[in-house]
Amino acid sequence: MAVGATASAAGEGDPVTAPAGGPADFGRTVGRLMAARWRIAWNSLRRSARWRRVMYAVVAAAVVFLTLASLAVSYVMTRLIVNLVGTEQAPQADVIVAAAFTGGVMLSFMVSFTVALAALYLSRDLDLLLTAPIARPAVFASKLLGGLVPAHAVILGVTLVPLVGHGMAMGYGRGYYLTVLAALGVLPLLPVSIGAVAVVLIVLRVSAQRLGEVVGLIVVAMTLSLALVAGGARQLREAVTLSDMVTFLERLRAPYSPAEWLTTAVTAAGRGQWGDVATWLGLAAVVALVAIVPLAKVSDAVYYESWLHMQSTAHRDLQRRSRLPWARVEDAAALGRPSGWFRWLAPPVVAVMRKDFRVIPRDLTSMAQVLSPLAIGVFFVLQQLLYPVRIGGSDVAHAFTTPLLVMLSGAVATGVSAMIMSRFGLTAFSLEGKAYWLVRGAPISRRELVAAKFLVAYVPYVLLGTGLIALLELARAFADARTFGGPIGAGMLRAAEPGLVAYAWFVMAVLGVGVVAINLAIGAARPNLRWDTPHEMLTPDVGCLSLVLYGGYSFVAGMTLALPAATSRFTVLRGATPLWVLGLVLGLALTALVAAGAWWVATGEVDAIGE
Amino acid sequence: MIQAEGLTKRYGAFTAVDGLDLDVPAGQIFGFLGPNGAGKTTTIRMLVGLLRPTAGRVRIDGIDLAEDPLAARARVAYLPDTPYLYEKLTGREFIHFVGGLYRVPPERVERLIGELLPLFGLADRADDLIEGYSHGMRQKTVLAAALAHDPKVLFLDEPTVGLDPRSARLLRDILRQMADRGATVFLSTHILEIAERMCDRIGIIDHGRLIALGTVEDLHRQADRSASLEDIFLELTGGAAEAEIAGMLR
Ligand SMILES: Nc1ncnc2c1ncn2[C@@H]1O[C@H](COP(=O)(O)OP(=O)(O)O)[C@@H](O)[C@H]1O
Ligand SMILES: [Mg+2]
Repeated sequence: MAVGATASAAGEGDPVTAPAGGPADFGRTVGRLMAARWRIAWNSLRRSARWRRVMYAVVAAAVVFLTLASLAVSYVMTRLIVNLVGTEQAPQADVIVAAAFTGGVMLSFMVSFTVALAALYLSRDLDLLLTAPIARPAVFASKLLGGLVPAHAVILGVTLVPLVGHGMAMGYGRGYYLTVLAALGVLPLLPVSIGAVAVVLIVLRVSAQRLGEVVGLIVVAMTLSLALVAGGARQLREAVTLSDMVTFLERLRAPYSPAEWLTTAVTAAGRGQWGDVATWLGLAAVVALVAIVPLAKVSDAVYYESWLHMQSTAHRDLQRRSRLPWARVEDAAALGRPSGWFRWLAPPVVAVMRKDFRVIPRDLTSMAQVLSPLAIGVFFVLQQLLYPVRIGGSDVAHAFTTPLLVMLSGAVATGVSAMIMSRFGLTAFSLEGKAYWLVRGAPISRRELVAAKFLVAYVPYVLLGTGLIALLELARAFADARTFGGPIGAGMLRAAEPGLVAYAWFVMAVLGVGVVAINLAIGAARPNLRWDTPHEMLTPDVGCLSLVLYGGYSFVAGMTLALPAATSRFTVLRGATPLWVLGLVLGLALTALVAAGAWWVATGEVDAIGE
Repeated sequence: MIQAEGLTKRYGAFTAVDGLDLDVPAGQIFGFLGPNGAGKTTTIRMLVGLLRPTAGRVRIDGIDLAEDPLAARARVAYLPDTPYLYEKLTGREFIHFVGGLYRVPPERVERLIGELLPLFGLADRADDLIEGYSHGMRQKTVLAAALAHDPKVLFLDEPTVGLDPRSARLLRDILRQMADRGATVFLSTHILEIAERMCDRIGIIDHGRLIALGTVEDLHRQADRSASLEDIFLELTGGAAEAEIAGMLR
């Protein structure tokens, strides 16, 4: 104890203290490590306030809008259910609460796993922290908290809003809202503990390089089970009436889930049954606290051991890598030689593109961020294959809805590819990081650099989008062929819609230009070269701004381009070719405008990066 | 070959480089000498176009850096003091990448890699990722890449810091050869020995101002003939106080 006391007395303003016993000391150390982290974030936030202010205004407007929308949806849904049932006390309306808590728990779980992986193992300052005389549990706790607190602020906010809407609709009193707050405090503990402990144990066993695959497997498994649950409820297919929807949501409630305990507690609070509140909130709290025990257990020796294990396997993999095909001499020379598809581009452009195509996949964290959008894509393909969308509740595919379904495939492919590639567009310049001096000092023009970065995100966007459209359309044709009966091959040929698919592909490719350009411009205007861990490359405010802008753009442009095509066989609209042409002109014009503006911003800003 | 006129950089109220005038002719090794924080790195970053000067202009080979940056940059190579590279490229890939940026044919780059890396002791590590390299290995990698496009002007910021004696010696030979072939070498250092042994001409900078300029002999002549370069340097940069501190500690 004496050692710790003198050390902390001597180290004024110094985050490093000698290890010492006592929870107070532990708390202080965690506090200091966190404070250092926040100070860095705060300092980078204060720089160049004008841009930030614009950004915050846009982001704040979007947040307010989404909050109001989600409040309204939950309020209206609750009122509808109450009216349907006919009594004010309608227990059926509890499904809204259950849905909010289930969503919150699932989001928390997904985030915990990937954040724990990135924060606990892939930060660059871990060498420093784990060898410094700091208690390892303090490093563990501060890293975990630093990564999870911002994410959970968002998750808890997203969960809170519909609960408030529900409470308002039911006319619940103050006890309800207090219980909601208590329940939200309990909610993250279990998922976080499970996620983090699982990561530590997995890293202890498998090499870090393979961890990305493990994360991928888990995400895919989660979407698969989601798809099966969603499909298992046959009602979803004809989820046109409210009662079907309620039945479907009811089926998602599992009595063993902590989300269900919280639901029971919160709804009991609304009805003033305080005994039930105490029982179920107590149960959830006890389980959550018990779940902290394994977390505390692994935070010291096991964590350190797993970290060491990862270091050594990482090194081994590194050595082995030199014998992999991409390390061949001719392959390295490709970086400087415009050949094959790249023949028509200038050598510096090719160098930057090929460099990025190598650097990005070799980085585990950047790949980890691709996985969840990719899993969503897989989910849709499976959904399409197993439980094809049938509009109007019929099992027979209607000829006039086919264009709508094909455009839907295009929309899914666009959405998934945009989610993935917008991130790479947004971080295209930040990715250069502290090595930016090299590109900046080289004789590569601003236009060449922006063009290279555009292609780095756009080419994979088109490839991914093409693959997804093909898969989704194959799945749709297959499902249709099954309903037709007869030989599958012939049925699939009959269901195929090459013209419409080509148009959906065209829309996807056009929207990609706008999406990637918008993100490139934001990334050039607000680059972040000072990251230590790849997942810090993207600051949340920039991410939100990007989502608002490219989401808005692709919604408007997508609607004008695709809606006339999607409805082209609706009898009322038959022969609406002028509408189609009008949509095409408007959509292309908007895209051209967006792309030109983004080009102007990006080439203007790219010179100032890195000063 | 390198011309700077009234080169100035201010950070808010603080002036890091103050009205620097320089003219380094071709074929010379120019040593830029100064204590820590004197403004060496800031000056070099302005000369290579990584930092916009608050005032003043830079000409490389007669080309104004602000007017035709691409042409100027194509003639320049730069070795920073802390060489941040792409961690996820191999050394060989990195050199080819730089070659591509400077439009050097890959065959030439490959020939250079074949000659240079064995000399640097890097040949067997060329296909490892750079994240496993030491500071010195990174410096040698950047140097090899910098030589790929046969620059007319080579800027090196504290080049000998991470190098072992053998590599430092090799670096000296390479720089001398380049200068003999007509290239200009501009290197900054705070180590006097290096300046004395390597450089044809020396400029001493302190608090952002150039306080002495000339050959080693010139500097000796200016001061007491018997004084060592260390004495001259300490006197010019006000190091007498530091000598006293050293005395106190002893
Ligand atoms: N981005 C910056 N902002 C403010 N001051 C800076 C910045 N970069 C350098 N300085 C200051 O300029 C002075 C010169 O720095 P530098 O050129 O790096 O010195 P050195 O001669 O050691 O290379 C130092 O006092 C340093 O603190
Ligand atoms: Mg320096």
